[in-house]
Amino acid sequence: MIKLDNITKVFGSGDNQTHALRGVSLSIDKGEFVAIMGPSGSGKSTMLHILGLLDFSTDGKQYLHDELVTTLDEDTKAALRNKNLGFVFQAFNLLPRTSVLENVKLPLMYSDVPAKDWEAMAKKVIDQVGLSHRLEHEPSQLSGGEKQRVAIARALVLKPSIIFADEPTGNLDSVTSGQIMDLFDDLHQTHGHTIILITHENDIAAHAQRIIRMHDGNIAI
Amino acid sequence: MKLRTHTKISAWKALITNKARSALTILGIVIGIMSIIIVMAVGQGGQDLILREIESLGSNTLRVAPGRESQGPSDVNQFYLDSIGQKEVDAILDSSRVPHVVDVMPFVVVPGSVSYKAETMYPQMYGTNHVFEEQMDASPNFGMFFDEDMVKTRERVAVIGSDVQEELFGDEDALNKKIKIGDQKLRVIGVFGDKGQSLFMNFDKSVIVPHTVAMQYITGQQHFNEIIVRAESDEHVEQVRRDIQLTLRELHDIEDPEDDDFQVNTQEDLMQMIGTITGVLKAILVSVAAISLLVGGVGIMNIMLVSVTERTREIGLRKAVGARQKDILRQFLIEAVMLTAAGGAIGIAIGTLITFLVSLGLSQGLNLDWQFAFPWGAAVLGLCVSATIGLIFGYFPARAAAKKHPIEALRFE
Repeated sequence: MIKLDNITKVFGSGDNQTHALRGVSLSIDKGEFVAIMGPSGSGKSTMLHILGLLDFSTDGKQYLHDELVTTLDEDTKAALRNKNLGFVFQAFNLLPRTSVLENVKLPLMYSDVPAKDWEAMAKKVIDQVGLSHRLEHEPSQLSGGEKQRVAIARALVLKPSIIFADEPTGNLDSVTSGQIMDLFDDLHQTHGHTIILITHENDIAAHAQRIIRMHDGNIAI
Repeated sequence: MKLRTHTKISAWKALITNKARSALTILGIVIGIMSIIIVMAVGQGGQDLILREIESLGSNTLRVAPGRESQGPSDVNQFYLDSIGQKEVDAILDSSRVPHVVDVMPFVVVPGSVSYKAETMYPQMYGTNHVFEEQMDASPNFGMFFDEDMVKTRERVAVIGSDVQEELFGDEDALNKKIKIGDQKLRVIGVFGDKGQSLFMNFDKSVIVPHTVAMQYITGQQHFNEIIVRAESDEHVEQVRRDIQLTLRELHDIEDPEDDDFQVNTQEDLMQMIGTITGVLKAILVSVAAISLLVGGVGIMNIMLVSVTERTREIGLRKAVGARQKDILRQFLIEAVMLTAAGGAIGIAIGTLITFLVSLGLSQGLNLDWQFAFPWGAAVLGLCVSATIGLIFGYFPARAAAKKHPIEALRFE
């Protein structure tokens, strides 16, 4: 489903060069639940961004659905992200002063789904994360756990094949974290989504089938 | 280009959530568009007023004046100010020389004061003939205007305006009283009612006497300051103009039209001239207003740049969920255009209101025949200009937004 072949990523140039990834090779299959762990600066976020087509690699080859994506331009990558990839961030990244419903609709606005279907699709995933009673609320009126549920609903709305979660419980207390992880488990087990998740915490990583540990820009086995 | 509704909605939301800032930002545009509307509408109203006044004189009239338009600083012909006298008027009235002439109304400007007993004032005083009454629609409310015989026999009579009557006589009846102009005593035979200001003169503050009296007894001059010739109809105006030119050249032994010591203007000439003058005035005023628009545009650019920076994370998120560069570009461009177009619309509304109040003031307060008309042309122009300013000054910030890298944008604090 997704494959990295000797990917490197270098930030900066000349004396200020930082090697974030030093030739990472990796393959993730459809339906896997993968946790990426590692200390700060180990390159795990960079790898997630490259896997999620949010960033480009300096060298190496990357495949999505068996197609080479390394050389695609920005707009084609945007279309691929829209269609196939869903993102959940640590900081939620909801649009302020915008209702839950409108926030979840956001990816639909950049898709080729006709506008008349948006509302029904958005309501369906909001229901799936258990926030049907919060449709018209704005992010400032929601708890942290609810915000992250909105973000998950937004990631799900276009039925992506892969969901990327960058420390999704990093801003949440342990009870709420547990609820959010239950949601990810449900997405994985019941709905068969492929999930790639970054975390610091072992108990969060324990939800995954497979744990990839990063160290100094490489995968540490 | 297909405009997706969501882009418009996003843009609209961003604007109303920052109401105060949006309002201040568009102030420059509002003022600029407002000024353009006022200048164009008031200018048009003024021009219409002048043209109506000219037309009220009759489009079949011609003005013959001594001298000619100066063709340079050393041009002496403009000083031939005594070239139109009774001889010339007689020639123009000679139907074998200038056919299709109905009548001629000469004008002599009478300087100085008029007095009655201890009261003295300086009104506008003219010498003319009996044609004036019909031509200028100037029948006195009290008494009568002088007739042809009175002009011929140099009868010392005068017709005065309502303000003159009030100033000199107060509550006293002015008719048949003797007023003094220079060292001449003239009998008041008519008083105009309140007529107010027309383009050429203020009837209320005027004294009209037979031109023969004015020339013989008061000013001593042998020439007219100008004469108004009336042709039988509009179609004859050009022919009459040509015949007057030929007649006067023959009379004055002029071979080269360049040497003319007189000028003949039709009402059409006058209208064109006024159109040119008001056009130039409008152009100057509009260019001043355009500077305000430029400043307003820079303000828009500034606030859009701030907005783009503030919403860096939003841009990053939108890109992460699939927005292409052109989607972001479009969103911010529409936002800028909405801002400026809203500014333009407000400017048009305020400008129209002010124009309306000005028209009201001029027509009610100054008793002018000033008509208010909604400046459609200026309004459409104003909207187009303001929207274009949004496009031009919004482009740079919008492109900056579109070029943002999704990851750097998401990480932005």
